Amino acid sequence: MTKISLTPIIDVVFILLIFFMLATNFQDFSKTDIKLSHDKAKAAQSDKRVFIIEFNSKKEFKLNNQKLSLDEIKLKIKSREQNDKEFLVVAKPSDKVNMQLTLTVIEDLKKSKINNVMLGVTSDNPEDGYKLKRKKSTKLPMLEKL
Amino acid sequence: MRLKEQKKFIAKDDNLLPLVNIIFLLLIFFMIAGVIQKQKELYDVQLASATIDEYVETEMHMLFIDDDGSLVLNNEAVSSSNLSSKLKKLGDKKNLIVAADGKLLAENLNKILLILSKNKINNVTLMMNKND
Repeated sequence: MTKISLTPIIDVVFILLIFFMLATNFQDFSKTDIKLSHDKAKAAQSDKRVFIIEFNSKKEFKLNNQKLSLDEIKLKIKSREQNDKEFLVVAKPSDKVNMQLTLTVIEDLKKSKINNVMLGVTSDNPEDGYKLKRKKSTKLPMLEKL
Repeated sequence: MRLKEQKKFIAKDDNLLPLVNIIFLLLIFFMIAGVIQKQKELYDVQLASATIDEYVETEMHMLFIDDDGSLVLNNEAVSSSNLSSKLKKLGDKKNLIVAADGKLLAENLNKILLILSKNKINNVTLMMNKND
């Protein structure tokens, strides 16, 4: 019985294998569209409640200056969502927080269906800092009393 | 008369069968799991990992920020001092993808975002590696 030699097919398959190994790309990216929340720009965001989430590299979180865990913060925001359809969440990392943690927090918030997350940008002018007291004018954003 | 004993045909290739099996499996794996496309140049930026939205390749301006704060805007190295002038040259269509290193500190990121903000770029797309 004559048998077909396997050597040519192995050659071809090897060439195909090398081609696919070199040409294929396993890089897979993700993205998120995010608004930058400039300190000065907040006045324009009228009549919206603002939740400012500050966090440091030790993963200590503050919601509008009140220390809470991220889960508690998410719960607070979600519970408030029933009353205020329009609200803003500003994620504001402290200076020593790396990008990985910042994105993890944003990812966490977005996975909890908190979609209107903005990234806080601190102005070089200290007078432009986020003011946490509710302004008398209704045109200014209202900060949630906890 | 004694007949000459017929020799059994032994194919020498038979030993190669397990190898062929494995190569075939590898081939099928690479064909199915991989995507044939050009590797994206990331300029040594080790992107942070998170999975939020699906990244689709689009014609947008790209700003890479390394962990030391060095910048690459549209394949061209720029310093933070002349980033503003480079951004002005981009014209009105300033949809920007920011690919920042996972180790980049917020203080350095903030400086760059301030420049973007001053150039009326208030919406950016943050790019990251997809989590497994």
